Amino acid sequence: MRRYLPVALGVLLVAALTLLVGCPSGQAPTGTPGGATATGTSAGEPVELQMWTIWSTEPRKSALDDIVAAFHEANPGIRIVVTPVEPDTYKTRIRVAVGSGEPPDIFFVWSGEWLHNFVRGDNVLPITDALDADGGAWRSRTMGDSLKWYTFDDQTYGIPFLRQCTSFFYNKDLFERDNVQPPATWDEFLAACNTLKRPDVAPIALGNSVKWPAHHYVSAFWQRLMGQDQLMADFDPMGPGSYDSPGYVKGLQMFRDLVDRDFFNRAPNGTTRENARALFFTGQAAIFYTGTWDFNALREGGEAPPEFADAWDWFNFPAVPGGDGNQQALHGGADGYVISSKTAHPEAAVKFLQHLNSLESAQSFVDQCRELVLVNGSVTEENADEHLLRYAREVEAAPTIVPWADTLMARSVAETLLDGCQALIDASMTPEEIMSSIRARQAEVKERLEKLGGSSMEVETPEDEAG
Amino acid sequence: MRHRPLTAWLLALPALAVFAFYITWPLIHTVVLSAYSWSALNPIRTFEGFGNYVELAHDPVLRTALINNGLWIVLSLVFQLPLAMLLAVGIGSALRRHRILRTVYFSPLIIPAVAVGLIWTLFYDPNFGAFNALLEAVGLKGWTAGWLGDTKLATLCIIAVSCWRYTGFHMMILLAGLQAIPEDIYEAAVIDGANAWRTFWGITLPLMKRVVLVDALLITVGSVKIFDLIWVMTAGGPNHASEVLATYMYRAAFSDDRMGYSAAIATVMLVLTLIATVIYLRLTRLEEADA
Repeated sequence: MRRYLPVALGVLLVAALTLLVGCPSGQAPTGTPGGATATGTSAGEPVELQMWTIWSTEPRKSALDDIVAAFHEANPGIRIVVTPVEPDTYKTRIRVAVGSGEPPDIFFVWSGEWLHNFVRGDNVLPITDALDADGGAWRSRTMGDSLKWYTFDDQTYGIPFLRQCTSFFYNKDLFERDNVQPPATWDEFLAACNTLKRPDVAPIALGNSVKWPAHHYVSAFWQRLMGQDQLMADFDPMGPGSYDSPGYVKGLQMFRDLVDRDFFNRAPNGTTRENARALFFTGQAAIFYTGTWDFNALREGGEAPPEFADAWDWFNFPAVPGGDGNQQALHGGADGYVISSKTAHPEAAVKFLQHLNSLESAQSFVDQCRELVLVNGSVTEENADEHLLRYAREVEAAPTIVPWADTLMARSVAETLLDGCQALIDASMTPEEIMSSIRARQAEVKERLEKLGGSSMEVETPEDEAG
Repeated sequence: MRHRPLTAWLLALPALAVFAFYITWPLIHTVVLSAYSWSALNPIRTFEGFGNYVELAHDPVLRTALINNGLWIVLSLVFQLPLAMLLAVGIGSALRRHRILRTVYFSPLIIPAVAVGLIWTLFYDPNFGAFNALLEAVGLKGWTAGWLGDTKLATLCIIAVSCWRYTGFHMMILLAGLQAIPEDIYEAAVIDGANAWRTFWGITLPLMKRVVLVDALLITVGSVKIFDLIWVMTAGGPNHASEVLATYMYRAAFSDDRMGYSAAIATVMLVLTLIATVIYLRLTRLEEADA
């Protein structure tokens, strides 16, 4: 008996180790080909393009499927295989795919430094020529100056598709009950929160377990206090800035002040974003600082109860008196798509992006998702609701739309800021400590980029930042 | 003085080749890569020498990760091993009647780690979660906490989940060892008038020494490599409070975009695992010398 024990144990050990170690699934499941296709007689094997997106939930998922189906009908020789990935997972998964040399042909990107990182490593195909063809027909379809955030060294890499902005969403009923008006200045905002605070109502819902929601406050404070020019100069690792302006510490302090006043729900760092949203639409929190991506959750048919559909509205980040930035600026990004430089079928991929960026596709997307697509004329009285029409008008009227700090900073610097915001909530770091670790990380990134002979961001700042 | 015929080597060659290609080479390669610095998205590497290790030595996050890994090892050993032993002895003494219990205790391991993490994250939620609701319901409002959002509690909360998940598994290993102990020894002990307590300390534990040792090694190695539960539940947060070596390595590579630094952390993990293995081998050799 005893003699077999070591053997048995050995077998168990091996089995156990494989169980314990496991194996994280590196590859994304590819979409299921086959099924009902509209293509009848296609000559030969169709060209297959892999496309990764973060549009993993309805109605965006179906809206994209419809656009792809229309493309297949018009181009029987090309097949687009869509792989939707949940957004927070996507951030790392796409890096693994691109870094390991097996990128999808077309993939989703966030604008700014996030995209620039991919461009620096020559991972993205420039589409400047296609945009400029036919007298710049494609270029002129794109709304506003959003292409700017996809342009580096005079080359444009991909198309901005969705305009996302963050605002303070608020519960109209709770505001009415306490006779509170949407505040225009930061002092009014603090006064409003004081009035709204009750034992069963938190003034503001914050779910910061994913780290970036708290940073949206800091990002907005910095813009209000210092202006976009100052931020762009500091964020650029090869730029002239040094994060020395007192506005940085002040912005972090102003956020910490909200925690000190006990304006947030319990334990924001342990609360998911989804649960913060639930606190908001169940009336347990009066205000929720979130982006237009939550429109659909709050609308009728979304996650929120139907009676809440008319109970919410939003106001822009209040003016910070004495700040040097444009006090009317919006904060947001332009989500879009790029083509991998490794793709075997660049023409087919460009063709699909053109189709995605056409007025028909844009309108059908707006019709189903009620989100702002960055194609001129995409939002009409017919396909949009009250909320979207107002949002489209605000974007048009905005003096400037400033991207969030984490999309403009170098990756590791942005992570330091995001961690710092979590630390600020539980007071484990002071604003000064956070800024000094950001400066240290920035210096390190600069040193590495200098060794590589890297270029600076070279995104020119748009309009003047008049206070 | 043994001679090793050529054929033996030839027969072992395919296995050795696979081992060298899939295990040895990546290990060496990781150590080499830790001397460089580069981005996952940019193949150009710059040479850093020991730069990454110098930085690691001063990195407060690495210190947190090491402390947390230590906590994982100690608490897992302290809670899982005795509990698993208790369950194994209890179930082993009445196996036929309690087969269903064995399945119940083992079942948490069948649920994928990601699902386990998500379920427990819901329990721990500070606003809607079961724990705070329960504490409030029994009048212990002062005990409610932020759980995973609390810097001091986050790691302990995840270790508790891990104990829930793996104790049944370790029970099965110990059970296998128990069943290898010949029944007649126990019969002899009963005839000599030994009670259950004395039988356990005098017979079961000494004869199980080696199984317990293997199981302890499994727990230790598992605690050094723990990743999935933490990644799903806190991703190492808030602000690195629940970070361990594996999550920090992953973050360095794919969130912070510092591949070389990540390789340096991987090398630290490799060294620690090697030390654990050497200690284990020593212990089993002592044990064999005893026997």
